[in-house]
Amino acid sequence: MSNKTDMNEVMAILRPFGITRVLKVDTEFRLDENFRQHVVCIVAHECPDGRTCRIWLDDEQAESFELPCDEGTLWVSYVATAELRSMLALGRQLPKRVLDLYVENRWLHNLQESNDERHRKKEEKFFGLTATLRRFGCDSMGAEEKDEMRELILRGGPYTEQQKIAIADYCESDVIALDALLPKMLPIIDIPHAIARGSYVIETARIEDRGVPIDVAKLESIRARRDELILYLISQHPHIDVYDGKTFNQKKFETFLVRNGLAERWRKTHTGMYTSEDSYMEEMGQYFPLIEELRQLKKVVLQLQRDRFQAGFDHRARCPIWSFSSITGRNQPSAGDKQKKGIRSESPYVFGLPKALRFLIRPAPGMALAYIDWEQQEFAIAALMSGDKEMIRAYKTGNPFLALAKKRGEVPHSATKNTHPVEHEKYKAVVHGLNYGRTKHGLSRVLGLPVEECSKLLRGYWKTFSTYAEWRTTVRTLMFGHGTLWVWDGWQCLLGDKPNVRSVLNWPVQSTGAVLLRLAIVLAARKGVRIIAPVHDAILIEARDEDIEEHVRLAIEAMDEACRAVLGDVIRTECQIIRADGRYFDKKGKKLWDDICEFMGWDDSTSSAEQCHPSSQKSTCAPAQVSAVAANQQPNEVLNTFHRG
Amino acid sequence: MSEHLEKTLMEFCEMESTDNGQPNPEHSEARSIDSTPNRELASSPKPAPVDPFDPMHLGISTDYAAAISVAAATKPFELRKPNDQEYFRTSPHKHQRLIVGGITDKQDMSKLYVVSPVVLDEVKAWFAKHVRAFELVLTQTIAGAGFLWHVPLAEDRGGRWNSQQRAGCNQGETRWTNMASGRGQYDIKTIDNPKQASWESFPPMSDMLRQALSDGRLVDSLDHQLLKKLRGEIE
Repeated sequence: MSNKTDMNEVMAILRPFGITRVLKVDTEFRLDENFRQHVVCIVAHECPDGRTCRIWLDDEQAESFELPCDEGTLWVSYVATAELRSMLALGRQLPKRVLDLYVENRWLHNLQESNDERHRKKEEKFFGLTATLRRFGCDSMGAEEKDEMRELILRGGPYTEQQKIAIADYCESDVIALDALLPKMLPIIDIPHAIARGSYVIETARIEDRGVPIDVAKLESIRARRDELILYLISQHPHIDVYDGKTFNQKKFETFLVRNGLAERWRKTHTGMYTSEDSYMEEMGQYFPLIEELRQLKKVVLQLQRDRFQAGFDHRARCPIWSFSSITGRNQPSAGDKQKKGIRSESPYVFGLPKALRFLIRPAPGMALAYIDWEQQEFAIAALMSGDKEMIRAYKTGNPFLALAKKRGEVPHSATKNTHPVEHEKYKAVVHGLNYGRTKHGLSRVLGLPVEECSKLLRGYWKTFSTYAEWRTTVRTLMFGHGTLWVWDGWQCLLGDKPNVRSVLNWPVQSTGAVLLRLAIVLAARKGVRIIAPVHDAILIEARDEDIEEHVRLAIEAMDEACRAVLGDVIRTECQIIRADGRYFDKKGKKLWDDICEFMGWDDSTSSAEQCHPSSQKSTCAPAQVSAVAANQQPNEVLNTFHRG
Repeated sequence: MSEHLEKTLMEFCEMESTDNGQPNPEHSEARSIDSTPNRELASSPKPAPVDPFDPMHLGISTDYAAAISVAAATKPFELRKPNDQEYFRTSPHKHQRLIVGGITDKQDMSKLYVVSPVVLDEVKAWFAKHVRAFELVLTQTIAGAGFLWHVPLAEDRGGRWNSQQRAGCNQGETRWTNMASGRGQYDIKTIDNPKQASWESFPPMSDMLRQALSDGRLVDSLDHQLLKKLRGEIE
């Protein structure tokens, strides 16, 4: 237990905030058949009373226990979602106040720095508890000892009395670490914002615990025939001839690029090979549908080969979301890389799956889902944060790309995406690319236009959106002159060694996107909306089929409130409702999903979702777009009966 | 701060207003900028929050431009030249400039000491060779930090270095300028940066002088350490 002076100091800092008790908590668990936590033991140290609570829960005679959860009690943990999910698995109440020292450690050391440095930190597990304790000058348990105990816990019982004591001691060692870490970190963190961040951590624990409903029957059928399916899918794409059997062939990929006139524009690795990196293919896929088709195929093949995605016996997929784990504060859900043979371990996030496999998301009987996202969120955030009136105006037209083209006099005022597709794509590339700092050379590569012409396009962009250009200079000045940037909820980044200027310039917009999502989730949860997945700029919610419209209304209300608080205006939302007999739909994954259905002999006629404008949103932005998908129903039939309040 | 220094500064301010003719209306605006931290609450006043940790009540302003101005206004002013890595702008406003007599301490990094008008004639009589005329010019870096630059008046004494400092200062009135010492002269270059230089948020000249000269850089008596050093009375 920490010494009395430390405890007194901790309480002296926290009492002015109404905190009268601190509970440092750690739990040990393994995952059950539903990927929920089977809790083995809990240890808590209470401050200022100095009480220790060791609770063994792994056998039938589990102890009954009560841990304080009132507003005057602050729960302190390292990666608190683990402890909170343990409480949910045990059917216990969650605390009102949480301080996650992992999140605050991220906040304290959130540096804009070189990729090499970031990679080095990842390698040495910079944000792990052991490295953090070392950095703050505290003792920690040896890594070997930790591994041994983890193995013992994951293996499962029955345990001898000696093993039980050893596991509880191991659990308490992490609480002792918290005893040491808290007095060191508390004076240097922003306490109100840190505890406010804790309220998002509480919601993510709930989201992780709820999981996403999955069509397990279809998932298992796919897994059973995955080898044949891979070959079938590859054979269905003869125009994308990049595979040797089931293996991606670099030589064939190069031939594919040459054949389609893309070799000249394609980026090469430092060894001179054409890159097949997913992020680059994603970027190019925005402009070349064939590349997007290849990318989706590649992702499905890889996913089927790895076969990591799993759902529980309760037909729900669960995985850690890892909130605040990226420099922008966005979630970094599990990629399922830590799987171990014979042990139930993390599955990849369902929204990390290729788009075709997201069709496996299917509401539980009697329930419906709704996927609500912000439209062109990044452009809108950039416009509102910078206060660039031209950008705001362009956003409000519903098509900022054509609005820019019209402003530059390249298309008539009556132009639409259908009448001027070339100009639309050209300006889409300009707008998308510039937020990431794309140069005239990069633009030339994407558009296949001469560098001079791209230079002219860029000049036109900056001239039109000059306030935004000035704002970016301010961002740069603030970061490189004052060494810090921050967003509305206090998430910050600091100037590190050799930062990437493009990342710096993009940070406020990306981080504000993360703020909007966090705030919307907390507000929606208060309104009783059951959120089951956060997705970059969207949320997936679940409700009884007859209640879904009302829950969509509440969720959008929360999203609008978040935007108003952070940006002073709302951002358009669009929504896809998935009825009890429907399944998740994604336009970009439809072709491959249809191929999968054909191979498996399924009659799964998910018709394409069409968008509509059911009612006017009471805001300065355009109406929310709502679409619905039902397996045996034409979307428009559903839409005709659905109107937002 | 000593009474003497206050009095001397008052005299400087009188000189300033004589130069200017009229008291500067911008001063009152500048004074209204307080030294609250950059991350002040987004909208105040607000009703007392029910929950002190409610994220809705904890929003902070992301007006980055305002934050830069506040940071610049709260940073103590220095009396120095722009360094060779800085891009700077110089104030074109007369009320943000002041001609003074000064002595550079060549034994201590060529630090400038400003001679108070109270003792200027006497100091000149003793050290005519060392006293030179400078114009103190409010200068800001591209990062928004302000300082007073002692630009030698070229007509006072010849030399390419002096005249080029003057040229750099003039250039800085309209463009972001960088000045680095090259072979026997300053290399002056300018850049096209859309950032606007704002002069409204700086405090009055008297406040800037008070800060810049607070570490004994004002020669306000014949017993000043610098004069003693020049007379060989101390090391």
